[in-house]
Amino acid sequence: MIEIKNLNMTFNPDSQKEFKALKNINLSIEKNNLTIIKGVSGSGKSTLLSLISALLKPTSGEIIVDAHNIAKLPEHHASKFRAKNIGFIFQSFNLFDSLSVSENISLALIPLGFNPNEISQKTQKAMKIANIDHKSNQNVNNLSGGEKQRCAIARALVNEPKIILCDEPTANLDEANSLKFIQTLKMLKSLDKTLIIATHDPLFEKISFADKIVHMKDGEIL
Amino acid sequence: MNNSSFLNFLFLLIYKHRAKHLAIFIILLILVALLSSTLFITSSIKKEVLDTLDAQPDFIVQKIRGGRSVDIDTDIVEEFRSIRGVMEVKPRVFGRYFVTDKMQYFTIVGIDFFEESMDKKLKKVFENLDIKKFLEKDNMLVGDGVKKFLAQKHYKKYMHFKTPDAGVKKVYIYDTFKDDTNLISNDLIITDIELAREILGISKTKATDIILNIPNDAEQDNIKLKLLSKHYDTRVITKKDIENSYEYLFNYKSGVFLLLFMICILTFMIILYQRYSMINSNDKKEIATLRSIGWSIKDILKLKVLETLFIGIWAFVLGVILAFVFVFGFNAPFLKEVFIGFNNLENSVTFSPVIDFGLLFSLFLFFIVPFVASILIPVWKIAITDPIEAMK
Repeated sequence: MIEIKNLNMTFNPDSQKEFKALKNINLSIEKNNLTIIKGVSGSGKSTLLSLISALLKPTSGEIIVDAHNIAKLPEHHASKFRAKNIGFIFQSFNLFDSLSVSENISLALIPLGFNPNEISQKTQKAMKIANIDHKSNQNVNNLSGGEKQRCAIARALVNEPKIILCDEPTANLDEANSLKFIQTLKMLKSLDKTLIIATHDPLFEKISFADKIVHMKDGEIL
Repeated sequence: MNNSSFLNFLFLLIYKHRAKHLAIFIILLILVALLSSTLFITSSIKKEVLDTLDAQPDFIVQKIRGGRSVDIDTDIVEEFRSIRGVMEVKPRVFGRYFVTDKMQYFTIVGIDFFEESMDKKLKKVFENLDIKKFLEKDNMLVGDGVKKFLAQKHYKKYMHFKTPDAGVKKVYIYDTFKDDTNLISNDLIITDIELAREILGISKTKATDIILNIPNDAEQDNIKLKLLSKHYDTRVITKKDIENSYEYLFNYKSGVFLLLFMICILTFMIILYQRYSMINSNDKKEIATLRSIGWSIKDILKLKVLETLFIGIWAFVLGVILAFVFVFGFNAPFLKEVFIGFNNLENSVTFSPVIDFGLLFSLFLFFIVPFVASILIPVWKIAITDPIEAMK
């Protein structure tokens, strides 16, 4: 499903601030697999997620998703690719504080060109899956950490993506909520999603249903 | 992207961020209202001045003695009429009547109401007047400033004028001029020409000055030379001279306007700078989040531009409407004094609605383009950086 070949990412090339974030990465991720990318801060995990989601363009190398190289997609096509195929779950949830749960979730459907009715239906469905539908009209500011996490999960699911990327998803959760999140991953896997988790949380080492654990250090896969 | 969904979200965002937008909206509203008010006032005054200039004769001939203007013999009128190229020669009777205790004065103009070629501007001042009834006794038409001044002195129906031969002339207030002529008629008293002669002490063979028109512009210099060579003790004031003196006056007012304008520009620049630098980490996160969930840079810019335009256009439209009501509805209290001033009788000028759409459009562009750019540039800068890094 995802094939990464000879991937390099250098920030500020040919300048004093040049920084090689990723060095010759080769990785293969199968459909419906859960892949955990482990490593300390600065190891290149987040950069790898940015490249897989076509938010960044690599300096060199290929990222093949379903037989399409997305490495050099123009911005407009890259955002379309993201809107259709990617769901994101972030460390600090990155929800719009001023909006309600349903409004936050529906945001991900606007670029796909759905009309307001379709958006409403799909949002309801995603909220039910993430078990946050009872807080639909509540402002996200008034939610607990776990509820915010569920809202972020619903937003990541609402566009029915093939790939879900999680960047340090448990960094802002206590252990109980982190364990709940891990159970949610199981549920997401059962929905036929390909999951890639970038984390340094030791809890993820105990996951029995992980298909692959990749260790990264200084921009390289160990 | 579905337009209705996009617009729904745009208005939702504007509504949810209303507290954030309110302060900037109010400041912009005040700035636009202030600038538009000054534009409306200057446009209105300018039109009034241009109309006044339009009604001026080509030449005004005054007799000079000791560097001062003195009354001129009316015999000269026929001589002027005989000059080839000269038309509409008319003697005028007017003067100032000082109220010594207040150091203020009225301008008294004597009118021959049966004169066909009367000054258009004056005609406008007393159109709809029943001339027959007006001339039945010693009546006068007074400007608003004169009426108020006389009322303070308890002269509500008439006024006693002291004549130069130590007599007293009782003149009744017949009516006041229409409000929209206040700029020129505020300190004005119009009477029959013979009554004006009595009050001002001008004999029947004299006039204050003589006006004449020269239809062919190319002849004006020749005729001026001819007049001056025949009458060495006269001064000829041309329409151009009057235009120049208006310009001097108006340039002074423009200076005031310029100062006001510069203050507004400075304030606007500060707002722009603040907006530019106010893009905080929260805004960065929002932009980065939108990108990560599939919004293109173009869509994000569109969202931010429309959000800014919505606020800017509303502030502009409301500011202009406020200014219109302030200037033409309430007659621009406080601001009016800056432009009109009153060193004689307090002037209650009513501004006639004149809108310079070209200038208003320039103001719109001057206002909207930098306002939108102040948000567009930082948003674009954020949108092209790595969203995941921006979200941390």
